[in-house]
Formats: sequence, C-alpha cells, structure tokens
Amino acid sequence: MTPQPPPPPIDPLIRNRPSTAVPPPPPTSVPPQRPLPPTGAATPARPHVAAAPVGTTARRPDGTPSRRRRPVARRSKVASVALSITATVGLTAAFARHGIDDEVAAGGADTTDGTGTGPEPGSVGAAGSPSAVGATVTTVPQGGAATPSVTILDGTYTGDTFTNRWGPVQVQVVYAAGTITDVVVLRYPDGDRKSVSINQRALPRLEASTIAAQGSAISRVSGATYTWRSYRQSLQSAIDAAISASGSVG
Amino acid sequence: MNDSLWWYLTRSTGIVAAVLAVMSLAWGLFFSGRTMGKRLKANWWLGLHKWLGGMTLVFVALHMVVSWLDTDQGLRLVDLLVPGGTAGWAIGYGVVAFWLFAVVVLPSVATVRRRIPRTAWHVVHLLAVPAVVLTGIHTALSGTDSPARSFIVGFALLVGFAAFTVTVRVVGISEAKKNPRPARVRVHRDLVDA
Repeated sequence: MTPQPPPPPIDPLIRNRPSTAVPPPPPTSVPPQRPLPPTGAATPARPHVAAAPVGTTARRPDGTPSRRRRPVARRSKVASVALSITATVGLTAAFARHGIDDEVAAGGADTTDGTGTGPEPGSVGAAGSPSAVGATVTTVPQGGAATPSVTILDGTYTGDTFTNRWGPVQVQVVYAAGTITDVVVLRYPDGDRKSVSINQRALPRLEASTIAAQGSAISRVSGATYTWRSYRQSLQSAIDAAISASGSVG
Repeated sequence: MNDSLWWYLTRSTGIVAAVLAVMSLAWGLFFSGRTMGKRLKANWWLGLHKWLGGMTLVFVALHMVVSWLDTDQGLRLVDLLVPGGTAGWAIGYGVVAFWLFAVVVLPSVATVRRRIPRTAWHVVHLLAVPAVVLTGIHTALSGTDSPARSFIVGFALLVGFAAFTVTVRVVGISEAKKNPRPARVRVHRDLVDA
C-alpha cells in the first residue's frame, strides 16, 4: 500500500515557501518521575548548596548553573557615601578653622593669647544724672559663682567693637528704670550690598530680641550668624559696662 | 570651638544635602529621558538615582537634627516640622522641602510602590522638582555662607546644572510628543516572506 501524500497546507504563505519536509515530531520523552516518599515518612532534607561568592557561578545539585545577582552600581553607591561623609567632615573642619581665624584676627573676647588688636573699648555715657531707682541685676560669669547684685543706673552704655569677617559691630544700650528700653547698633558690616541687605533684615530682630530677653541670651538669626555673634559680644560688653558703672556709683 | 560645633555641622550637612538632592534629581532625569548613552546600563542609572534619593533624605534629616541640637539657633521641634512658625519662612521653605522629599522618596520604596497605581506614583514623584527649588531658596535665605564668594559660585553651578537637566528632559518630552516613535511590532519569522 503506497503512503498517502500529505495534504496541501491551507496557509498560502507556507505554500509558497520552498518545500521542506516537515520532520516528524520527536518522540516525547517523559522525564523519570521521582518516587513519592511513603506516607508518613519524613521528607529527606534538600542537599545543602554553599552560597557562592557574588558574581561567580554556583551549581545546583543537578549541575545547572545558579548565578547570584550582583548588586547594581555597588561601587558607585559606596563612593557616594564615602564622598558625602568626607565632604561633611571636611566642611566642618574648614568652618571651624575659619571661625578660629576670624576670632584671632578680630582679637575677640574668646582669644586668650592676645594676638592681634584687642576689642576697641566702648564708653559709658549717662543720659542724665544717676538715679537711685533701678532693678537689680545678678551677673553670673563663666566660673559659675554669682557676683553680688547691682542696681543698674539709668543711662546709655556703649559696648566694645567686635569685628568679624564681614566687618565691625558695636552696640549701645539704653537703661531706664533698670530695664533695657532701647538698643542702638552704632556700627555693622556695610561693605557690600549683600551685608547691608542681611543686616537690615537681621538687626531689627536682634534689637527686639534684646529688649524682650533683657540681656544677651538671644537666638541666632538665620543667614546673619556672624553679625549675631559679634552683636551678642558687643551687647554683653555694654551690659558689663553698665554693671560696672552702676556698681562703682551704687 | 565645641559650642559652635553644632553650628558648623548644620552648615556642612545642609550643603551636602543640597548637592545630593540636585544629583539625585539629575540622575533621575537622565534615566527617564534615556539620555545617558549606551555605555552605562539603564539599571545603573536607576539604582544610583534611588540610592542618592535615599541619601538625600538621610542628610536632610541629619541637618534638621543637628540644627535642633544647636541651642543657639533657638529652634524648637515644632519649628522643624511645621513651616512658617516663629522661625520664619527662611526656615519654613526648608521644612516644606523636607516634607516634599519624604513624600517623593518613601512611596518609591519597592514594597510601597507595588501597592499604588503607576500614574499616581509618577505625579507624586514629580514633586522632587519643587522640592529642589525650595531647597535652593532655603539655602539662599538662611545659609550662613550665602554671602561668601565661593558659596555663590558653587550655588550658581548647582542651580545651573539642575536647570540644565530639567530643560533637557522637558525638551525631550516635547520632541517625543511631536515625533512619536512607531510602536515596535515583533513578527514571527514564519509569517515573513523569504
């Protein structure tokens, strides 16, 4: 019996192709099934495969490769962390060094070796005759021991000039009835437009804070930290001058 | 120097956080615009963009904590979390930028991102651009070093770089809308005439 020719394919695209004998499909080979464990028997433990180092090729028990995924951009991430930490530490050190250099150059109150010019002395000016009426002020120096209370006399007291990297700052306080009633900034950094703009914004806030706090314990103004530091030093100098003047009279 | 250490750390962490924010924004824009060329793989750009975004959030939080520890600043906890309080808007812009960064970064974590629609995630992620803008405003208004010449030069370079990357991306989007690429259709080889 002659074998029957294969029926013509329905798809015209296939008909137009050069004829090629369609090989018969290979006999399906069913992989041998793993025998099921008997009922109630413990499942055998899977063989342990030691973790292969990253990037290398480990092998599964059947021999097929099992590659671990390398973390993406690992080196760049480590470099970014290192760079950020280094930048933070370096900038902090640079700011600290700048701060020390500024104080040495200005001869500020924080220096102990007396290099450079010292702070320019302020003056004590009484607006009127000393008055016996005034609130007592207790000063607590850094040593922690309280000095005897002093009655601040009415008057105008000018603090020393403290110079920072942007310019000099000098403050004058006015006492009336023992309280600070007015603060006048005699000198402030005005060498460039930026300094003028910053101080025009910051100084009114510092003056208001001084009257509210009745002392030099005032918060920093954002963006005017150098002015704030010099202002506080000059203000404290003026308050000290008021105390010393009142103490010598009273 | 010890009593000013917190102040110095506040300034340095703020500068590093600002630089990280701009870098993360740029990396994300380069990745989304596919303008990185073929030398580096796309997953390298995306992986580093995510990493830089996370580091930005960490350094911003560090900057806030250190500024709070600096008692001379007089900042309270509420000033760091609620903008426009007694600390003024120079600090307030920074607080808003922090919350925007948190909103941008946290939903991008894989476990959260799978639960939200992609369109919603994309709209939220675009808040990174105003966050960087507010960071620049905060730096200019409240930065102690803002009058320094070296700071002005560095700040100008950073702003210029951020503006450049955003412009390139926007131009790329408009070009893609004008000249849409045809969709790629994969045809089985058996259906193609020899």
